[in-house]
Amino acid sequence: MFTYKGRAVQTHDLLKINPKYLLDEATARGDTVPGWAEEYVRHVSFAVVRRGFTSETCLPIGIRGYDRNQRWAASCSPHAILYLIAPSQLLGLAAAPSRVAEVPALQSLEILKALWLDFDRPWGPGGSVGFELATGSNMAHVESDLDIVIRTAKPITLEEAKFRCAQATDLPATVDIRVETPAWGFSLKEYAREDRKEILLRTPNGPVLGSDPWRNEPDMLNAAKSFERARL
Amino acid sequence: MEKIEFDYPAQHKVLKRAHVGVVGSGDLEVLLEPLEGDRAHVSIQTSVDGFKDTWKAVLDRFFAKYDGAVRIEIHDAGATPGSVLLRLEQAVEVSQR
Repeated sequence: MFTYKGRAVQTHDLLKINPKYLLDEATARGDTVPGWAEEYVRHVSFAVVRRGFTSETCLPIGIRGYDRNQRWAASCSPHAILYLIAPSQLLGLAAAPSRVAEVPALQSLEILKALWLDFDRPWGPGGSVGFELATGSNMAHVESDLDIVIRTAKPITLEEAKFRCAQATDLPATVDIRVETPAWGFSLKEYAREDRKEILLRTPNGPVLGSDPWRNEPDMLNAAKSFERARL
Repeated sequence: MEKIEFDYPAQHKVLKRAHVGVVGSGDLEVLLEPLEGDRAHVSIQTSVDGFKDTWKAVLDRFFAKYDGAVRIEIHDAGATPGSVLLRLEQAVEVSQR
């Protein structure tokens, strides 16, 4: 497990990174650094923790550029991390009122914060909205969805899932809710669907279909691994 | 936003339609329905531009094993090739249920 200051680092956490360490580590590993990324990380030195193989010294991270096609799937060691922000911590940060007025995803987060005051599981924004709140840079666009991350080990009932999805419907932006359990992540919308049988579970080894996301079966993780290997 | 279309030869009639997946970050929605004739038609709408070759590689692999006469509509929000294949297989499974 990859820990930072005694805390387990999880998918969707945002990291403030030391750009020099990050670039030096990438060079030492022989990783290709995209042209746009080198200059970019010196200005916006934030990364998001990706799902994937993690060791004590190597964490998969994603660097998101201003453009939608600018994504760098990088890795870093604990030394490159300056501090960590979980999605739920971002609820305490506010975007500039002018940004909230012009970006539907930021407006939607404000509405959801009011609607979900009673919600007792850790949750917060991910995606471009999370990046914008963490960095203070304009990362969300007018067309951006609002990505929400809920972290829970305690099962969410179907009724609860439907209720939370209904609350997140018809907001100014499309809201995409990802549930993260200690084993994997899945879409709350797909889980809440009436006619569903199996849903897509995102494991560190790749995606797999499963009927019950609350039953943690090691076999499923292995299945994902062999699926990715066999098919790609 | 990019629209991509492909055609593949088909041999078997498909009786049921299927709808799987969701349009959410890194995921996709697949709508599969019977199509008259001896071909399969795929239309993809993706939020990430510039990956036509990757889509072709994934669909070539899928249609190397699947020969249903279907119309497949994909709404993609940046899914990985692994997720795309899994969703396509799920759609076939549901259409055969």
